[in-house]
Amino acid sequence: MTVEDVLRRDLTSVYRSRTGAAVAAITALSTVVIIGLIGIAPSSVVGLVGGLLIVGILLALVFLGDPKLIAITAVLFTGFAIGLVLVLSWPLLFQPLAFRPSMDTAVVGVGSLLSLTIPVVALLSSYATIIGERNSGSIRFLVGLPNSRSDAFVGKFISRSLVVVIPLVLGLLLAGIIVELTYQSGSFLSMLGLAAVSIPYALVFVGLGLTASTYGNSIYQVVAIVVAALATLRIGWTAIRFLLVWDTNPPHPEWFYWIASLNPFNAYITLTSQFTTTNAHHPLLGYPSDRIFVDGTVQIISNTETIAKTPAVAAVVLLGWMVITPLFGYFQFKKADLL
Amino acid sequence: MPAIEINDLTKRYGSVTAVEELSLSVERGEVFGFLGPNGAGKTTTINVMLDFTSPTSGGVRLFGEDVHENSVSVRQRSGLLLEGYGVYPRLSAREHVEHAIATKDAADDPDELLDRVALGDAADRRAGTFSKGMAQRLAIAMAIVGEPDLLVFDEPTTGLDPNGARLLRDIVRAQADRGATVFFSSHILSQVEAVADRIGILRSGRLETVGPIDELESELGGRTRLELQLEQVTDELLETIRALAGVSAVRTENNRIKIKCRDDAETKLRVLNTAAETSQLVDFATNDSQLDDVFSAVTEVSP
Repeated sequence: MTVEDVLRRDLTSVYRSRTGAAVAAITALSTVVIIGLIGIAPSSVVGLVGGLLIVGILLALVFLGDPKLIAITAVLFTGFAIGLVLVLSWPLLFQPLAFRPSMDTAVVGVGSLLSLTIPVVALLSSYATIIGERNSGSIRFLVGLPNSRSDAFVGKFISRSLVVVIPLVLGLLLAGIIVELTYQSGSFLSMLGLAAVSIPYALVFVGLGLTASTYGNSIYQVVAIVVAALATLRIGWTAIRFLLVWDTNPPHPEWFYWIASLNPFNAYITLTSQFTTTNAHHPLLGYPSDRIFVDGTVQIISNTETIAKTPAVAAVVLLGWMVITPLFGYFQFKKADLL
Repeated sequence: MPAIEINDLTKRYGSVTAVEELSLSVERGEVFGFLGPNGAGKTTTINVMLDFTSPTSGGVRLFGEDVHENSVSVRQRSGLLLEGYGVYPRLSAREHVEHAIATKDAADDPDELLDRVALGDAADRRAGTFSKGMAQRLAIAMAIVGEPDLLVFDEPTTGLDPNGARLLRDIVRAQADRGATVFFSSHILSQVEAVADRIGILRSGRLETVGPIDELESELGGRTRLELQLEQVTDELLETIRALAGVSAVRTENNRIKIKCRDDAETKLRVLNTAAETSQLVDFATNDSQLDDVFSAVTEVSP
């Protein structure tokens, strides 16, 4: 079974490089660490300490090449951040449960953070997959040994997916335990749900990085493709949609919501919102809320009812992206003149 | 059924023709030397042969199987040492060989293979720290995993020191003795000469000549160089030598005369006697025809 051989070899290499440690550090930071910090401190302190923590870990990732050193530095900075939060919020720690952060804070906070960091770590783990081997020449072993092109591609895809999915699921499970124990109406199951929708979301970007890696002829081209794709999906998509309804007032036509719902970022946010208790409008959603607060009461300003906004559509969209994105790379890799 | 059959192979990259209408057949058990200067199309031919690159027209069959249709089974029977390969820097030498064994479902002992290429002591070192020569020996160990029926060595001597080069020759001979076919590409003739049964010379994507080594030497070579040192060189003497039967070229350099002539005792004696008659002859030397000369004769681009 050569998929397995490719997979095992690739995983070993990644975990001995800084990529594995970098992905694990960033993922831990955006799941269990942030949940822990919110759990013990008011949000302003978390923002301050979290910023310090991110700077520390980024410095470790940029300047340290050895995965062990990166891991040690990340752990040390996390310990430092937790200590700092404890010191800064000492008087608040003994407040009654009513002042605990709410479940919705956890879901919206972690969901929003992951909607940004998952693409980063998934692309980080996958963009060099093929082009890296072409540059170093080890692709001659990959395709010279009796691996079919499909086996090589699938093995690589599974390997890079595991690199992202394992720390992501572990981080969210630990976060779930903290949420269950210390958050207001905290639910372990909701965090589990968040993990379940985060997996296909991560695979979309592993697929995107892998596809870019097979199309580009140099590492620079691959990075350019990745950056262009991210910018188009995240910024360009929203810009075009808003330009289309520039001078019209709500209610917007149904197609406006359809354009929004086909975007993978939007699909992910829609799905994560399902695990909040209030089902409130998520600030990162790509279309405006139908409801606003006026003098403390909810007013419906637009009542465009469309299935485009439903989580079922979001699920189909996300799974669609997950399947289609790597397929482009797969067909390119199958027919390419690799050497 | 031959081990390698290349039929009318043409490969173009845009307007550049890398290989043009190449046809070649290599028998089983043969050690075939594939020679050519850099850029002649050797690596392109090998890339098509192993289905890394698709041909513009024509095709290759290994052991009767089309290399594109039966890509995996063809590579299962082959051991490769390819030009421009790179090791996995974070895997140890042993892990490399283990990976090749696992992928090929072979039963070799990784340590034994590493010992054969004199890397036993470095088995647990990460290959990223290896010198070019060590990496090359590691790749040789991976190539012979699973006793392949065909070995493809593309510029295998690159980076090898003399000991490494001898080791490579021994391995090629051992593999050939076992019955494997060896396809050995190089621009270094002495390496090929030492192991090959037959050679083909490629120039600008075309196969210029192919045949057993000794035949090529007598066909294109059979010439020798004589170098005479004299007290004084006269134009008269030069003219006399030039006129002798079997002499093809004469030129001077200070008091030396360099002569290209037929490689037989009669011709050489005639030249030497003519020089000796002038009582000016100080010394002489001969330089036998080598495969190098054949190579130069075939691949030199005429002005």
